[in-house]
Amino acid sequence: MARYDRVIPPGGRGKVTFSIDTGTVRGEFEKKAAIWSDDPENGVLTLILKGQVKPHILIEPGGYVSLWGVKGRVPQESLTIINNHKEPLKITGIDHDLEGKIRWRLEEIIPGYRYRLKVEDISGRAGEYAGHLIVRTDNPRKPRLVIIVNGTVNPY
Amino acid sequence: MLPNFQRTCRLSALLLPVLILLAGGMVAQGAQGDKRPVIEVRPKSHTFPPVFEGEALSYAFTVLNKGETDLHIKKVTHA
Repeated sequence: MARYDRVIPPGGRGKVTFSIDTGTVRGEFEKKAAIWSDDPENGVLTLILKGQVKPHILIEPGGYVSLWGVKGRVPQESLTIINNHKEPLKITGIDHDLEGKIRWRLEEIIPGYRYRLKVEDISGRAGEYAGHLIVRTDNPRKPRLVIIVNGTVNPY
Repeated sequence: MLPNFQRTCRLSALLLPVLILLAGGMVAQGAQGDKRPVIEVRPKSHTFPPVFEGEALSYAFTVLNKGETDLHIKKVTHA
């Protein structure tokens, strides 16, 4: 979004103000903007805004788990939950909607800052399923993390 | 011969002020034409310090008009 002074008198100064919605930007960004004016020699002037938007909590490699394998031998998957704040993070609970299909286990790697979430298939039969793991935290700006879980269990 | 010369002189006398006025106008117009707005923005880029998602980011560039007539900003676009 941009706000700007429409007319600037000779010898005067005005402002062009840009606002960036960091709710829709992730990681490093570079945005270009252009001022269109009636200066005959510089009708379009390009401006650049750079920055970095960090997530409050980062999930690596991403917010999904794919459990894929042969019945009874589906490899366990794991995610790392990283707290980017200086204040320690508490994981207050984990829920899911895949009762009887998955089991999870949480390990503290660096208490308050880095956790490993292990997810395994316990369905015991061939088939496919999909659902969510909800990780609850004490960070008021990120009280819940949603992790997508997909399972594909082959009969042989 | 003489009446023709007189007629030419009279015509010249009539045309001269018109020519002077026209020339003066052209000079004035030329001088006016040199006046133009000159936009200047310095610096042309800005780097924000790292922020967390959801935090507000805002920056105001200062635009100078170094010219001799009003600078009109028609629009500002961004990607």
